[in-house]
Amino acid sequence: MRHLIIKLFGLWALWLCVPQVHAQPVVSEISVEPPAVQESSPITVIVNPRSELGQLSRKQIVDIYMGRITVLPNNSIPLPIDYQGSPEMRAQFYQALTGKSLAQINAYWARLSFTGQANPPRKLANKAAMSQVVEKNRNALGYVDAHSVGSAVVPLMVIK
Amino acid sequence: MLGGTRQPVLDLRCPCFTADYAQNAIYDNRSGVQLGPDSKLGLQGTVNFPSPAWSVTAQVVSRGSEAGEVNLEWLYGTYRLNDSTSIQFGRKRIPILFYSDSQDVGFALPWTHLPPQQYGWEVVNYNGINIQHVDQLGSWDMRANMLAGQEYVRDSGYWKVYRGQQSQTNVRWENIFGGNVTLAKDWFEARLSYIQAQTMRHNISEWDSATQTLAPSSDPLLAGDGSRQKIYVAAFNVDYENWVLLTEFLHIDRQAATFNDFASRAGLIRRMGQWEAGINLSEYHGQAVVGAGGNPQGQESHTNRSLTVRHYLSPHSDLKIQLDNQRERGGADWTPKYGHARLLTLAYDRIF
Repeated sequence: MRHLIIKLFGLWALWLCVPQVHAQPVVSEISVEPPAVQESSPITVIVNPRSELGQLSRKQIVDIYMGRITVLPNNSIPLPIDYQGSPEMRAQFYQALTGKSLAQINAYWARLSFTGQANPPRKLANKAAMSQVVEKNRNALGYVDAHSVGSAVVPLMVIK
Repeated sequence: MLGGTRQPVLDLRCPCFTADYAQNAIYDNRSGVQLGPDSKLGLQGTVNFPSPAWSVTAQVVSRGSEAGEVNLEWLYGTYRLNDSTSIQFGRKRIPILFYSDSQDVGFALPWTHLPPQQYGWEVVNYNGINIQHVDQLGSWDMRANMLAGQEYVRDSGYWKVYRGQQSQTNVRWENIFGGNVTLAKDWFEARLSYIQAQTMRHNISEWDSATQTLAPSSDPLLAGDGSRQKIYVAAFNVDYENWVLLTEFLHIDRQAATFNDFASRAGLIRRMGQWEAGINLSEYHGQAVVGAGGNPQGQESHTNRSLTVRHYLSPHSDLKIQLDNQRERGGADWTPKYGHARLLTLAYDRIF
């Protein structure tokens, strides 16, 4: 058995040394809407035209969506919006923003939300609902694909 | 169980691997697949009231180690003072270590079970109140939590590991008080924790194999009516690109007991798309308090090395396989020596 364990460790170490082809997150959820985002369409973070959030850095956007920031230095309270469905867009957003897959993000939130430490962003059904909330709320921020940024919201940052 | 030291220990047939001390979750020398010891099914719900400041959360868990009996393990109310600060009161996990309060959420853990050398304690819940606050310290994100309360465990699972499956021990922690602070910046995270409590154990009985009865016993570890203990924990994590380094260090100062505790763990995880592979080393040893009667030559000590491979089946489920190699380095005067054990565990986690 000891030899088997040593071999397993050895194989694993060898595996780490081989350059890996990183597969994109595979998503098994079924979603009706919105339609899948094209790979070439970058995700854009959107805010209200009269946003009180101020100019946000990429780090601040990460912190807001990961529940690490609840109040900004200018005392405004960010309201991050996420999608209930649309796993392709969510996966693309979080991969670009944090470098983590959707499953890893869910595991992160499982630790915080099940233990009452923090709550994940409010989830809405689709892009229309997200845009509507951002249009009406000065503290809201959401994300859509670059082709779907409406005239009633302002693009804050393209997440690549 | 793949192998290890074959010997009877108390009323167990070892090799034995205790995956969860608090729940008396022990894998023993039975051949074939052992489904019971550490399987669990949990359901958590939160009720929000018309006032968004108030909510109530409950969690019930069914455990294989308790023959599937369903227990209400969490029940607490939350009042949000503002967007940064909230007060919670009721029954919760006691947040001693980094993963203590999420120890039953398998999907949140990088292992099939927590490293038992560090996460094996007699109390895992408490009744009380805590206040938590989120803030910024310069460019650091801070999450702070302070708590106070008490806990009473009837027929402790933890002490069945040490005194036999038929034994009974009631445990009381009074005047629990402490807190923790988590600081995070980019790829680095640190969590510091301090908790103190008065530990007492009552109504102790041990199984007498000769008479086949439960005989009243006493606790050789605690003088008088208990011991004040001070628990110090520091965890440091690095999450950089596809590499994750997890470390944690624990020390318990038991002021009137015969020994103090030291435990540590270090793990490295490599992410590869929907796959993760990691190694983890964990260690526990007791240190005798000679002045209180402790024997420096007879302290509990053991290590564990594990290899874990995780595959995410979907954004909400995963499959994990883990190989553990436990090495016994010493049995204390008061506790049996369980010997070495090699364990292979398979876990399926799903959150909804």
